[in-house]
Amino acid sequence: MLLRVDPSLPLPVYEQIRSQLARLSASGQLAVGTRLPTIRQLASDLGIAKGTVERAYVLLEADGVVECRGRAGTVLAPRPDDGAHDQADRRRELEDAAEALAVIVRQLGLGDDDGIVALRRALARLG
Amino acid sequence: MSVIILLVLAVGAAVALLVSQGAPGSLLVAAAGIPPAERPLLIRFLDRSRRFRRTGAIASLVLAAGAAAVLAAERDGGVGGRVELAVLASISLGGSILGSVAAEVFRVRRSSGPRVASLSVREPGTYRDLVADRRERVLLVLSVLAAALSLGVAAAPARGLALLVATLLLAVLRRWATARVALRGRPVLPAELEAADDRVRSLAISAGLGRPIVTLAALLGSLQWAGLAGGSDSVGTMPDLVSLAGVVGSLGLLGAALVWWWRNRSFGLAPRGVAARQLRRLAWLRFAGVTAAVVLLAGLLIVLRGG
Repeated sequence: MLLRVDPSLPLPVYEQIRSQLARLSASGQLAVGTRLPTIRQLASDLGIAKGTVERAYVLLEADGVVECRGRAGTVLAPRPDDGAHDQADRRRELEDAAEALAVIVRQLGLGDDDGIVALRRALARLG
Repeated sequence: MSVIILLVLAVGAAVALLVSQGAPGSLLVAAAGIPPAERPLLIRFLDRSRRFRRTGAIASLVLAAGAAAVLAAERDGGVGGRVELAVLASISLGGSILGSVAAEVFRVRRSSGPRVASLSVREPGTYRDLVADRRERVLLVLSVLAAALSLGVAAAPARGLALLVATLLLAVLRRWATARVALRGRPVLPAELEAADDRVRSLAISAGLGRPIVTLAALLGSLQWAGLAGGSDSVGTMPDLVSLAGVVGSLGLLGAALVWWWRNRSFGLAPRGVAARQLRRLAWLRFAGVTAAVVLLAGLLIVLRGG
């Protein structure tokens, strides 16, 4: 499973990490009890400060998404309903992201096919 | 040892190190039966690590010889100053280790654009070198024991304690460098390159850092026990026993250091098949080169002493 951040975006990097991990947890893509990389490892792999990752983990812990178990590391906490994000929620989130992509395609003056090809390429890169 | 002889030996060792270029990484990797997909990364790692290691050893040898010459010149005009050979060996091995640390401890440069990371967990324990761990524990126990004995019977206990501190510092250096290598940033890679990266990290931690550091610790331990062998300042049964233990411990640790150093050569990649024969041929060429360098320097030494 991958995590992607872009320091040049207006959204703070810690928020990008927090929202992606929260989404992966809510959708069930990461199972309950999955161990997350250490703060040091993730910061090193992403080339960002340790404090940035730490801040994201602290916020996730406050939201009940993860549990910090000291030396045992940080693991995904059980979800309140103990079930995956329901299908409607997932669809809604996907529609929002697609709308954002569509806006960018129009603002750049590109055609529909360009947007679709770009999305296919991005999906292929993720495997 | 006379400073002139020391200088000639140091320069000779440096020349020998330069002449004794190891077998090319490509041959070693092929000989070790590494899968083809992993080879390019491993070859780059081997070439870089060995270059840094050799540079560190040569630089420290030259520095040590220079420092010895300056100290001797201050003391007695540069003639007849004496330096311990074991200290010189420790300095060159220390320089080689510093070269290894410099080769392995680096940061991966990042672009300013988007960054992707895998969520798979990677930690120092993943690449743990159990062999070096075990040896290090034994060496620490022996070092503490030697330091305790030196407090009781040795004529110069400060030396034993200083060597214990040096051994502890080496253990700390190994742990720090291991963590740095294990947690060095890794971009998202295809599965085969991930396996190559894992192998590179394991080799860097074991053959690149762990085992040379533990070998130096064994050499320091040998010096520490040697201090007990000739350092008793009282008579009686106990000092005799301690002295005997000092001789046995010193020789045992020196032998262990030599065996570990030999087994760890070429990053512990055991040659096999056709490539092994090529490596043997290269080893003979290296041996001839080193012998020629030593003979040349011995001749120079005779000329110098004759003049």
